[in-house]
This record gives sequence, C-alpha cells and structure tokens, in this order.
Amino acid sequence: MEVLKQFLKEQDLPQRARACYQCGVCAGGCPVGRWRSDFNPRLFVLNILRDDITEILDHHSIWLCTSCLTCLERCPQKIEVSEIVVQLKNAAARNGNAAESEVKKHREIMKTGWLQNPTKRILRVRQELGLPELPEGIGSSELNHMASRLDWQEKMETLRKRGAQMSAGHEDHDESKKRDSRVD
Amino acid sequence: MGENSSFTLYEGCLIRARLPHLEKSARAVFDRFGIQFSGLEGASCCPDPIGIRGVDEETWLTLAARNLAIAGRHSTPMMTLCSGCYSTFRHAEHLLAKNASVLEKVNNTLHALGYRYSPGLAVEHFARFIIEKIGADKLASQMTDSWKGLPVAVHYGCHFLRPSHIMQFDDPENPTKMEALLRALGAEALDYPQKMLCCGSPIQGIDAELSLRMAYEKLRLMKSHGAKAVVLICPSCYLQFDVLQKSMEQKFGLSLELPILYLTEFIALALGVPPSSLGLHLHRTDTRRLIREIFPEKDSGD
Repeated sequence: MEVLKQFLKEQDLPQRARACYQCGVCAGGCPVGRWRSDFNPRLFVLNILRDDITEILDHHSIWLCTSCLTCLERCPQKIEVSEIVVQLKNAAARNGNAAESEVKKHREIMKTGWLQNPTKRILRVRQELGLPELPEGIGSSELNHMASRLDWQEKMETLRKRGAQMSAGHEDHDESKKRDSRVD
Repeated sequence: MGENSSFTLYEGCLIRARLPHLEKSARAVFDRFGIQFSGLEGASCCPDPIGIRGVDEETWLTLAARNLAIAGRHSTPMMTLCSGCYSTFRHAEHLLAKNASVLEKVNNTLHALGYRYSPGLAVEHFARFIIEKIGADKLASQMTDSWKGLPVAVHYGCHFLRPSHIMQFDDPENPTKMEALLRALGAEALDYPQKMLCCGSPIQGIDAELSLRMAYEKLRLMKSHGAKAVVLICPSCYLQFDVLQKSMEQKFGLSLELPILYLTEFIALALGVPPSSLGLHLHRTDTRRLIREIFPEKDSGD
C-alpha cells in the first residue's frame, strides 16, 4: 500500500482533489451512477481527500467508468474527476485489480498491435468495396521491445497473480456493494 | 481548404477490423472535395483511451506518441475516422505538452525504438474537418438529393467534444454544429433531451447488460422524440447502436428499428453517391428500407 500511496502522490491526486467540497454534481451527471449505486465519483474523490483509497483499489466498480467526461466538464471547482478515476484505475491495476476485459485488451495490443484485427472475410469485403489494402502495422519485435522498456510483462504478471487469488477467494460482488454504501 | 488537401489516414482498429463500409463512405465524401489520403505504415492501435489507458497510462501514452511520431514524419496532417482515436491523440498531445518529465520518459522509450515525438502535428477528426473546412454551404451547393425533411437525431458521443478545454470545438453540453450540416442537406435535425448521454460502449466488456441498457436508453429517447434515423461519428457508438440494436429490442421489449448512419454515409447519399456502392448491407440494423423511401429512384444495394 505504501508503494501505491507513493504512486498517487506522484500523480498529485490529493492536490488535484483538494478543492472538492462534495457538492455531488459529478455524481448527479454520471450516466453509470444513474443505474449503479455502487459507482459514485463523489465518493472516489472523498476517499482521496481522506487518504483512504484501500476500498476503491480493491473494488470492481471503478472499472465501470465509461469516461464520458461529464463530471470533468461540470465540476464547479474544475476538478478533473474522470482524470482522477483514470489514475485510481492505474493504481488499482498496480495493486493487481483490473477488469479482465481490459487486461485482455492489453494482451491483444501487445501481441498484434491492435485491439481488433480484420478477418479474411473483412479483407475480402474491403476488396469488394474497392478499398485500398490496409497499410502494414507495427511488427512484433518492436512490440516486444516496447513491452520490455515499459515493464509491461511485470505489470501483467501482477494482475494475473492477483486475479487468480481473487477468483480463488470468490470475492462476492454484492458484499462489496454493501461495503460501498456504508462509505456514503 | 485547398482543393488538393491531403492527409495520412488513420482508420482505427474498429473500422479496419469490422466496419469497412464506414471507411468507404468517408473516402467517397472526401473524394468529392478533392481530398487525398495516403496510408500510415507501421502504426499500431491508437490505443483505446479508456481500457488501455485505464490499466496502464504509460503504455497508452507511449503507443500513442509512437503513432504521432510516425505520422509526424509525413508532410501531411493525419485524419482519424474515429472519436476514440481522436481523443487518444489529442489527449496524449496535451499530456506530453504540459509535463516535461512525462515527455522525456516517453521519448526515452521511443528513442530506443528509433522514434522521437515532437509536438506540433495536426490531428484532424473527419467530422470536424467537414464542419470547419468544408462547411454546410459547400455541402448544400453540391447536394443532388435532399433528405426531404427526415427527422434525424444526432449523437455526438463523448470524446469528440470533451474535454472541452482540450478539444475546443463545440459546446460540450449542448453542441449544435453537426445539426447545421444535416439541415443543409434537407433533414430536420431534432432537438431531444440528454443529447450528450453516453452510448455505454466502453463498459461493454465489464458489464454488458448495463452497457446495453445505456445504449437502449439513448435510442429510446431519440425514438420517442420522433427520430427516424440516427447520425453519428464514432465507430464505438456505431457498434452499440447498430450492431446491438436487435439485442436491445429483445432484452427490453421495445421495437426501435432506428437506422444508424455514419455522418459520411448521410452526406454521401445526399451528394448522389450511389447507395449500392456504400456497402449498406453491412449494417446490422436495416438502413435500406429508409433509403428506398427517401430516394425511391435509387438502387439501395439489395
């Protein structure tokens, strides 16, 4: 946790959240919060102000942010709430907690350079539509080189280990929801 | 805009891998205005400004800066066909400009790979270029087929306009610039509530049901305010509204039947590009019935 606190400090999060007076405009405009009471950007900021982010970092709900940036636009104190959420996600990932779908995206990109790759059928359709051939993308040796420069394998390994622990522990989603509502 | 403007084209992963018809319509429109595209060799995913950045910002920023560095080797600016890619590139440029130590770190990695990022490349979003550099008047002057008063809902999506202090384009809560284009092409651009509500696409892999619910709410609002079609400018939003529309109808029990058109498809049809050349059969939600109704003399590509 000390490492994480250091990370958040490096990101200057306490300072970036400092002007928050908890008016809740961010939560009021949040399209996810409308449906999910366990997703509340105001509480994410509150936890930073209280220097208590343990719960958020372990919690699945932070990954529900769609990054619509409504909170960022509407904050009367010009706090970039969605940017804070990005940093919290990064911190959670360093702590081994990330949504599996997002980790998969990382693996796909570092493997092929792209989130999605055209199938033979799509390449045929491109031809039928008279579209030019797609340019060559990044090569795998360059991707591997970049991954090692970014300590990417190590980051993914942390996620894999923790993911295995969490699924072995059957972390209960409803249970964590209750925990969250108590924070409020 | 010079008649011979040219760009390197950054299609983005979704258009490359799944939605070639959207690229087709973009090329058809830009061709009409003498705009040339060349390919961008050696690029990677932008990458995704939400999933990839969320897990590790450094990976996201480095890959983005690498793409920008490659594009910067060309003498022409880069155009994106996707609001996600546009968001990644503009946001990455912003972060690299405001933080020298981040820039140095990224450039150290890039240097080892033979690149260098320097600020200053112009990245263009196709819709922004159409609005700002082509404009409603010029589109109207080239129109051969009016949309005949069709009520259309515009979906701007989140990342085209926000963060507004970076994008600096249209009002991030109540934008109006795209509506002016649609009106110039004979459509009725509808006013409907919650125009900036998110399509829900970024959480498709995290909570598919909630993601679908969000998309459904948006389409339901458009439909109940009289929309007969939706015009949008982002392939992620397109996948939500077009590809998943049938799933929404099944799950939530309301028939929507709302054709989803990319802005460039909408423009191409008004400029007389033959519908049969646009690959409209690749839409999962039928568009061809609508096109037959509005342009009965045309072959809709059945």
